[in-house]
Amino acid sequence: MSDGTEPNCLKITDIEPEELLLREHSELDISTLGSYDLVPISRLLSFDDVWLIKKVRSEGNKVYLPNKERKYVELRGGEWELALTFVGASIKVIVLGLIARWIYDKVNNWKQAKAEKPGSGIKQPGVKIRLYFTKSKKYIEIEGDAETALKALDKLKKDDF
Amino acid sequence: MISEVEELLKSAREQLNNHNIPMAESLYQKAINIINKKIPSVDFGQKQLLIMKLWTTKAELLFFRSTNPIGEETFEDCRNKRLDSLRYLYKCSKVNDYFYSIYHPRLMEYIKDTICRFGCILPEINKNVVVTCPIYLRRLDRDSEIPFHSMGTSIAITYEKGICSICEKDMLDDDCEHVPGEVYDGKICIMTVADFEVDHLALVSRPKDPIAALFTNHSFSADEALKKLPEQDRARKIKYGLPFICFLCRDEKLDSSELTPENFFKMQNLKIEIE
Repeated sequence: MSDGTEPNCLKITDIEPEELLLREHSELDISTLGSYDLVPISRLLSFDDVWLIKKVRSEGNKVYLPNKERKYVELRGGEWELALTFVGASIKVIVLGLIARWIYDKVNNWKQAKAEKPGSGIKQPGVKIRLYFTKSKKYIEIEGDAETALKALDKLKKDDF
Repeated sequence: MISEVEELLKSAREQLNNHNIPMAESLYQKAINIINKKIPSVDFGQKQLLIMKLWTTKAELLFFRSTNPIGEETFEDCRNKRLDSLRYLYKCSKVNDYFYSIYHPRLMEYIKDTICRFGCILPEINKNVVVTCPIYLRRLDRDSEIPFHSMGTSIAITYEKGICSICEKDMLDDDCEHVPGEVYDGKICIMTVADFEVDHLALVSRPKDPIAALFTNHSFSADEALKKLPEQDRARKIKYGLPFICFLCRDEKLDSSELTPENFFKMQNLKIEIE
């Protein structure tokens, strides 16, 4: 699956879902995971999480939000972060495609801002993505420059899990 | 008159190509004298054009002189000529949008060449060498465990409610079918927020806004830096009061095109305007 040539912002780990949930201090009932396509487990959800959830839901997929006391969060830095999300095998390609589109927009906005204000030192946006593919039990972390993250996503799309 | 000046400039360039430097310089000077003499007697519209011609001619002369030292001219003399050449081009680029489109690209190209040929002056303030060049600071960060100069502040805000602008329900309610950013009946769906509070202020390595950077310069003792110079350079620096020069971009073949003319002059503590 992993041929060891991942872009350096990509980390793939084999982990049991119970262990990951424990690590994240989540009280999510593991048996519910199989019934849903997308489960973002964080209590704090960014605008970008909302967009991803709504897009996945609008395609007719089942989304479960386990935290009833959730809050929305907005980070005003140049680093964009998605909540840790459990992803069902059937929507792997959709989710990776949507995230790629999301990052692509960030890269475009950055390039435009840089072109409008040359020399202003605007940095390339950074992204932090954490996904858990429930079927293959693969935990994916992507953290780095947006452009490198796009390459990592491209590689993930080709991987078979 | 303009054609006479153009003829002189054409001849000057030909002399340059033939490496006849004194002749080329005298032709440039002749052209400058003609323009100077004519300026007071023409109307406003023509005056503007003549002044532009004067600046560009001076820029051209100074540029070529900066790469062709005569007699005892030093590295510093050449650098000063080059900087004046850039100042004239900068003046030209600031006249209006049309001239900006013509002269700004040339100015950027010349700045790049100047950085590689003459380096950048590292200004000394209170016995410290102060570096504000973003390229230098990034280079420091690359070798540092903690990238201080890339760091900045970022605020995080939490909201209790995220309301859909179309149906006015909570965005994550099962009843709300709208996707932010998409258009419904001519109206774009956005998420409006309510009951927000500041959650934290974070130190981040990528501040969204460059002005949120915490450390915009790096300084080190001028005395210490002087001790590290080779004996000959140190003696020369002390004797003539020369500045420290950074050749990072030249030595590491770094791309300096991110520096605007304003940044270029400001980081060297030099005036950008020329009388």
